[in-house]
Amino acid sequence: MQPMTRTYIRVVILEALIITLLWIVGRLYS
Amino acid sequence: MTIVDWGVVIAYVTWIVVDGLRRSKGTDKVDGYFLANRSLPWWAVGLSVMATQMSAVTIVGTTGQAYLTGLRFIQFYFGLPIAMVILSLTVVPFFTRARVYTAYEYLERRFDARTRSLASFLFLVGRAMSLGVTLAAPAVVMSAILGWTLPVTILVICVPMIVYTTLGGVQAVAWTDVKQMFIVVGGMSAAVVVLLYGILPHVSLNQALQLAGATGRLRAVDFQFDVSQRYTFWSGMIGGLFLMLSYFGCDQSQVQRYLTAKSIDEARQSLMMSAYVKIPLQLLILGAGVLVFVFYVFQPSPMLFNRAYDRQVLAGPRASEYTQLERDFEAAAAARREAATRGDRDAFLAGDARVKAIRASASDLVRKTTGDEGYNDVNYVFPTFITTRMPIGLVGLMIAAIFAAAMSASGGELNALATATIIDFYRRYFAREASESHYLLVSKLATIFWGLFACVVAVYAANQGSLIEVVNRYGSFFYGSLLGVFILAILTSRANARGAFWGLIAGMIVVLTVAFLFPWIEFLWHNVIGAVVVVVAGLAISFSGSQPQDGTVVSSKSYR
Repeated sequence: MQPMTRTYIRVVILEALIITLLWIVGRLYS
Repeated sequence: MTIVDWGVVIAYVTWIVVDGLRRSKGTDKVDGYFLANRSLPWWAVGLSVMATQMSAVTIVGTTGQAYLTGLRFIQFYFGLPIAMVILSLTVVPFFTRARVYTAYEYLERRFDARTRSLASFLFLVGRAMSLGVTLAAPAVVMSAILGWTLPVTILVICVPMIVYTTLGGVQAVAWTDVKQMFIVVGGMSAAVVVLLYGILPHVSLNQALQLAGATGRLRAVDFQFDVSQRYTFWSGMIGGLFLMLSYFGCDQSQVQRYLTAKSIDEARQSLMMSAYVKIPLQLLILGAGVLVFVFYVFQPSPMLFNRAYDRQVLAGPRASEYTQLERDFEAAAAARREAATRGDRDAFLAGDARVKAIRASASDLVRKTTGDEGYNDVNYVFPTFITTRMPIGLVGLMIAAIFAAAMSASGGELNALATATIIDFYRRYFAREASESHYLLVSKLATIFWGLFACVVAVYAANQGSLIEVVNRYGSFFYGSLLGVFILAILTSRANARGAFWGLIAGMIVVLTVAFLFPWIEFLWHNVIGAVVVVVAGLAISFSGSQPQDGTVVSSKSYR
């Protein structure tokens, strides 16, 4: 796999994690 | 502000101007002046990309918005990382291999001169006006906070920015952006530490988050699909994706940043920096705003943060009403504080609702007494906290950070305006075969012209709240359509010049019509509508006619 392809995949995974974390924090503290 | 803080601000402004000029070597030719001889490392370009996007409004306005409504604005950025990945795969290699100075230059090679000129013209008009607003919005706040007149505040931001941008070109802009990003991140981090220092003696971090959460301020993600809601997961993911594709892929102020990179891979990595860092950085800023809310639950808070009309209201016929509201506010804030300390959620929420209602009544009273219908104090929350609550030295750092953000966003835009003016119009239509020194001279003159133009617009816009709104909306009228033209240019080989030109016009007309007939559709969706209409209309027109392409047309595959 090309190094940039790995970077793109990491970007998408990181964003998914951040959104999930934000959603959990919002639910936890509402 | 103390003399130490002023010292910090003055030292910082002097440093960026002197260092910007020092780094301007190699700018004796147009390629150096506009593209830094395509020599910048990815991390400098990446920081410059982020600094250009982050204006002073991001610091003063976003924190204020988070103080009032919480983290939900973060959804605006959800499309950004995906947009960066798409642009890295498509536009970046395209523009870099095409060796263009402006994004619009490519449109002439692919379609024709009038499509290029129209796109560049739309950019020039929109960016020139928004540059004025980028300067005006923080200048209004800073003039009230620092007690300066508005023109003086605008000049304090503009003069250093025009000097280093004019003399140093894109290199000075980029290296100044790098410094500005460090100052902004450092300043915001320091603010968070000071906020926690004021909160933690009263409650634990967990309790602080519970207070913010109880008022809905930590509800960052809203999965409801409703086009009348400005910020939802879907508007950010879909509308935001189109907006970011358009902003980073078709707006010269951003395209020019990554055209300065050493290679295609370095340009891609610079965009990946934004993809990784932008959302966490924005969370830092929004988080600071939420912490300001909790901070003022436990610390004495002004009833209104924008005190510009205090004297006028207190000298007016409704002074006693205003004074009574201040007394009520103090009582309500004390009740809220007590409920927060003992952990009584219901009493805290009741107290918070009372505080909110009194603030709304006070704002309304100010509006009626002064006749300023646009009065609000959102943008004044964070600057008030900085100047009244931060320690000596850090106040100067934060004020420098706000000025830094104003200058870095404006410097990049100014440089891009000059580039589009000279490359897309002057060199294209008026002086096709002039010398390098001639182009360099007119480029510097164009930078000065746009800098002064922005100052004038800023002074005018500052007094016209509604104008700021109009200019902000203007971008959403054509951004999606511009993206549509670039999609036609890069992703399709069947679209022709006629389809692209009339498709662009059709896209803008449809977006304008939608904006006026269906005002409940929020602006992020305009980008989607514009792009889709241009692609569909552009392809339909291309297929409907049999107009041959002219000799200058280059296939979209040529630059792959």
